[in-house]
Amino acid sequence: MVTKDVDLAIIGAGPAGMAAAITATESGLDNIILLERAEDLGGLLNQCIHNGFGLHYFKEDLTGPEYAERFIPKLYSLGIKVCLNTMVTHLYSDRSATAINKEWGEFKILAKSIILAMGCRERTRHGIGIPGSRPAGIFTAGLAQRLVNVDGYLPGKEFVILGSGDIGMIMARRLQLEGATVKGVVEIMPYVGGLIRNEVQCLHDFNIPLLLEHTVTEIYGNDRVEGVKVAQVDKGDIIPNSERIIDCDCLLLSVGLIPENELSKEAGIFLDEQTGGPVVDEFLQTNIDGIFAAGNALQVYDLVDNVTLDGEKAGRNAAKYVAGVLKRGPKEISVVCGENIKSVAPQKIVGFDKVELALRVQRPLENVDLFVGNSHKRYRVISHTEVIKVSLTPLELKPYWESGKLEASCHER
Amino acid sequence: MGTKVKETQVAVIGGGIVGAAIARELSKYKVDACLLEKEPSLGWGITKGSQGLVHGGIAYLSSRIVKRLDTELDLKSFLMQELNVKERLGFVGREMFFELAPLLNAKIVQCGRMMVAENQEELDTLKMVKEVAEENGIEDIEILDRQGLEEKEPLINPKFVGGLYDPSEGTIFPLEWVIAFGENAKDNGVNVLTETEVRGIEEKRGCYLIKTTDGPIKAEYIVNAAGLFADDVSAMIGRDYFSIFFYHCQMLVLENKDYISHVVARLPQPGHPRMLIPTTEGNILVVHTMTRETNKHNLSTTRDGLSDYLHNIPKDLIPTISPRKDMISSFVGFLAFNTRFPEDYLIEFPKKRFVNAVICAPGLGPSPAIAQEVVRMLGDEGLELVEKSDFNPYRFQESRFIDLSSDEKNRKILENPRYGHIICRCEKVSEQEVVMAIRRGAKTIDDIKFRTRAGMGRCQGGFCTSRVLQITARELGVSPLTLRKKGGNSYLLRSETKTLNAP
Repeated sequence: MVTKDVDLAIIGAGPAGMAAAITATESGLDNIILLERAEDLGGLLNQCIHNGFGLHYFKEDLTGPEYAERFIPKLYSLGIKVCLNTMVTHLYSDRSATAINKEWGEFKILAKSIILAMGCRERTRHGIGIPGSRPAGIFTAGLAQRLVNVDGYLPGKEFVILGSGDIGMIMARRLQLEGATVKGVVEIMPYVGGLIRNEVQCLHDFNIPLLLEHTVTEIYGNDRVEGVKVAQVDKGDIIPNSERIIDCDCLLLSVGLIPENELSKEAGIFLDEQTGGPVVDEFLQTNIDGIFAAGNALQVYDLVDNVTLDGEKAGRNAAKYVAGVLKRGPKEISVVCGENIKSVAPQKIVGFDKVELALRVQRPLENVDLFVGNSHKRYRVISHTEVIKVSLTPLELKPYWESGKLEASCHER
Repeated sequence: MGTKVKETQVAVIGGGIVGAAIARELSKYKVDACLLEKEPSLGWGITKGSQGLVHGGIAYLSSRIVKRLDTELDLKSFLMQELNVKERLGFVGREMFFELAPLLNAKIVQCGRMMVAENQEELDTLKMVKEVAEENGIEDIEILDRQGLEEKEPLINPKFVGGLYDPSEGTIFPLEWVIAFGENAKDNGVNVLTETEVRGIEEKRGCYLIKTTDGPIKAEYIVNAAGLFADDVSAMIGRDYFSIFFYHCQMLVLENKDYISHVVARLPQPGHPRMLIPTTEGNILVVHTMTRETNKHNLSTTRDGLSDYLHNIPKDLIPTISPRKDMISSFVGFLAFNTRFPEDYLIEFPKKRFVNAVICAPGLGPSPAIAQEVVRMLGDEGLELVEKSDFNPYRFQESRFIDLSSDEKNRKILENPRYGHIICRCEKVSEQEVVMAIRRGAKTIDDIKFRTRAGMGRCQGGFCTSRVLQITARELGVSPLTLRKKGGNSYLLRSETKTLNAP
């Protein structure tokens, strides 16, 4: 069996993995392997042909493939070893892994450090338990996006979209542009699940009906979807006699993303119930020394710009780890979610430098006081869809080393 | 549509596990036989939605406890009643499955069955079941105390005080076996006709003329193994002396089977099977409430069926399971019975050269024995059964690529690099396995899924569907637009995008 000894193995070559590879190289590592299961670099950016990427990172409005193209030539010019069509099948706590591709067959990777950048997957119909028959014509929004944008096929003519995640809203617009009819985007909550800009630009601008506080309660059709039953809900409970049938031949689901961490689990990496990703410190290092996590595998981000920054951070710290200069103290501070906070990463602080936390709130909030320990920030609105970043200086962290606990909380005035 | 009349000695109607097993049994003899199935693949009726259990003796006996509620007999004397046809064939069939597994290259896992008791009364009932089992020659049954239970199932709910352990219970993936029976029958000369639905039967000059959606077929003998539709087929020859009644059994598939290592079941209650089954493929099947149904075409799960109640069933047995997180699929299974013998099989000739092989639940485990019985009966009815000297009992099937050793994997990748391309990330299925499934007859995306497991994992095809469509279109030399999920009009794609149509 072929064995590859490397300083750094990066699993996944989406935006997080690509940024990690480039930054790690620039930070001094030269024996890196970047493993990607798909046939191209860029991950899901390749099927995201809409714009809105890079507004923060590049101060430009790019499409997904354009955004990926900012990194791909650089990866090659830096001479980073890229393995496409390569599936990592096992990951172990000693930082070894096995993978399969056509070139090397099943091969072993012995790495001094590893970055987990596997991205996320979509929640399915079964994951939310929609009852009914099992016809053709039920797709996750991301699969539909691939079929339309990469493969060039429309999976239906008349669509209902359940869930108003970003991919769902973007697909609503995309399908309408392709001449299909989107009969409604159905959202169980009283607000959309994705970014406000997508609600405006994808739904309102295209007169696509948005049914807030509604859900799909049944799917009809034996061979192909013939319709769905839609009901009004009140705080998650279906309102009796509010159900009606919408005829359609396709149901798309945009009902949440789940960080992909099957490999992490196998290696014994602790996962956070809230983010669905590994528990990490401010270096993005997991409970296993030398294994880092970045991007949507760590937590589902709102913007790709944040994914890139995550990748860079993981790449930089992996290089430090390999060089033996990643400094951590003997104590740690746990960061815990207080009122209105849904998730936080990193979940623990172990070093002595400035720390950046990424927070998500549970629901949209207005006139907010955000507290992280003693530090305080005011916001007019915070959306549950965005990632809020809060920086803390060593001085601000100092009072918390004693108790080992730092709470983040949000209060509406 | 063929207009020329096909001719055959024996037509088996219904390509479920029973029909396919009968077809294979017939293929041992110099008999011209065909198997008629209305779906695009074998086994897509009751078989597909079955629980995959090949029962040991205890399952049959303990299910008698439910039936006893309708009688005056005390439990012991009820349990001691003679075995019925189903139970007799069940004991034989189970042995046959183990004999057939290496021949057909199909998997059966003897995982054993654990019946748990919540109190002393339930434990006493289990002890009685054990006594009766032993008098019927079933051995190796153990009564376990709390400690014994924990040794076998460490995560079991602490409220259970003990249990009964039957090591003989087995599990199979039912579709693997239907495909195996069907392929082996075909290799030995049986004409397997899919998407061929029987619409009517006429008697003509000592023969049956079967009208199908793919033209007429003339047959000397007919075996009615039409499962859920067996009453309709029997009525086609004017024998409408029974009807099929059936229950829906909604099931959940959980991703991870590490929670249990045996079939774990509570004592059966009417309408509440309450059971966790570790599947051969590494999932847990949650089996719960049965509800009476009347529409044979309805395969819909219901809101009640997927409700919190359902999530409590697994937690009642294994408190640490989290069904909401681990659930990857849900589906409906049918449990069918006939009105003539509501608790037993109906295997008989209602008319000359026409045998009703009408099975009730459980029908999976007994199926090879049913096949033997039916073929023997055909012989008694006048069908000449001369053994073929060149019968090939073996069916070739490669192991799943991902389960091979590293050396074997690398040898295969050298031979054919498509093994090195893993296209399904959840179940780790290689491109070449998809190609082989297609070359062996899979035409639909579901058939490929059932044969290779591509799309059966936690993302339910979210990533691999696009790849599988491409590979299938390439291998069959067709447009992806012509590809279906299953039968009928279940096309996955509607049209090309306008960008592709642009000049």
